[in-house]
Amino acid sequence: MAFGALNYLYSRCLNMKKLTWFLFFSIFTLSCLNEPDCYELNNSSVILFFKVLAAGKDLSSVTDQFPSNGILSPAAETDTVFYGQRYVSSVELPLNPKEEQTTFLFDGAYGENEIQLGYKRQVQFVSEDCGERYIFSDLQVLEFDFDSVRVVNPTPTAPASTNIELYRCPRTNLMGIDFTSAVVLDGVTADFSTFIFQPNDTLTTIDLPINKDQASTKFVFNFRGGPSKTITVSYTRATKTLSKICGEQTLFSDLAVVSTDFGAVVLKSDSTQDLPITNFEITK
Amino acid sequence: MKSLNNIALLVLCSFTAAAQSGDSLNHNKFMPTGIRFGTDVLALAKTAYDDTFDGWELNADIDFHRYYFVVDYGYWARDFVAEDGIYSNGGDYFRIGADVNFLTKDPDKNMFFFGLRYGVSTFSEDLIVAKIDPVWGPVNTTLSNSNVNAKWFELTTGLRVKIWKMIWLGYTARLKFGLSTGKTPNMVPSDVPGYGRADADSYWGFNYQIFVRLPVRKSASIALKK
Repeated sequence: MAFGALNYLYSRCLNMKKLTWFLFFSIFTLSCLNEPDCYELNNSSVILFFKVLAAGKDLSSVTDQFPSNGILSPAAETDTVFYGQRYVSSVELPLNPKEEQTTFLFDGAYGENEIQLGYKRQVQFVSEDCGERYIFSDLQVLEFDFDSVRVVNPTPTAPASTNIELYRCPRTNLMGIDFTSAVVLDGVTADFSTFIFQPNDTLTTIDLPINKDQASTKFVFNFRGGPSKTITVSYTRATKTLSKICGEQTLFSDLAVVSTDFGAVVLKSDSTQDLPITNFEITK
Repeated sequence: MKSLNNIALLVLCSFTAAAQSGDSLNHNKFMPTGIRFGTDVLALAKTAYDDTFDGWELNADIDFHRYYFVVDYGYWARDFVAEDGIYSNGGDYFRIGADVNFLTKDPDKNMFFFGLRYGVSTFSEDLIVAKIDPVWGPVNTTLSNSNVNAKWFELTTGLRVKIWKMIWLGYTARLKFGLSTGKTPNMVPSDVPGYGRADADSYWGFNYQIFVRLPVRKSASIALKK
């Protein structure tokens, strides 16, 4: 009866018929498009980007490769470790929906750092299929012990994009060494430190710190199942203020081999950089 | 922005068409000829077959020549059970607005119309969340929004057809847009009675309606026919 009534009207206004059908079906088609995609709804992750202050040519910041042993949050119920044992330029970390702040501890090869993030959180029910979603906003850094931080975007997005940049001062004393073939190390020691670098590792590249307080540094390479070998390098030191935050730093140039018992050592670059570059190529 | 442009264009076309009809303004034409009361059959049917929905809607309009003053009043409530939560809401809403009839020469005053509405809703909603987050562990929370106000606009189109004596049928298609809600610090509204999903910038609605029209005087066209 109902559609008969509509047909009656169509017969009275034939020029409206096509338009009416068009509107009718358009509405039903569009109404089917309103179901949300669950995976696009949550903005519960933030991306933290690692950068090195004043390490670029014009003293701009450059992307860092954070040597992560693992990132964790004390509030996590499980022993979840994010990004363990790898180099990362950025990390995507989840915000705690139970609190309005989340702390992350960064265990890196050069030490530990901590950051506490604050934010507003709201809940919205989405659908029977998707359940609820958390909406995070007004992201801010409450506490940190990185050299500097910057909030790039205070509103987490879905999918996640960079929200915070974490800066560190340049490590100006890292000297890069390439081996012409892979070597197995028990470790490397330097004459100014008791620390053993790269213990029990097989590698072709190693970054080693040189002594800021002396004009030369001697390294001892302990190879597994073989004799130890040494190299002593000399360099020129100069101090410069690269950025206000980092203050005065020592820069190293004119690197040269003073003595070595390696088969061959080729100078590739005579100054250090951060991120480290190859200064010497060594044939065992 | 694109949808706003489309809406503006459609409204402009509606009023341009109305202006070009060439009707001479006659005060008698603007005297109301009848009041129509109706209800949304789809809302009643949905209440019967959809366990998640409970609602009804009443409609009324009165004619001023080709222009109709329209009032809608309704109620809807929803109950959703998700894997990790339970959501429920309920509230009243009303809409006021006007329609422009494009079938001015129809002796029965059948309508093909475009119109505008302003909608207002007052509703409450509750959400219980109970889930295990893989990183943060158990998340148990209960949230409520009470007496939240919401406002929005609608662009409408549809038909009204006289079936028998005072009985009319029709449908109304609605493009709802411009939703704004009151402050809800902890929970963002999910479903606004009368509007629908609160996270949608625009939303389509559809009513299939049955009306009773009470004449208050004979229309000019019927008088002329006699």
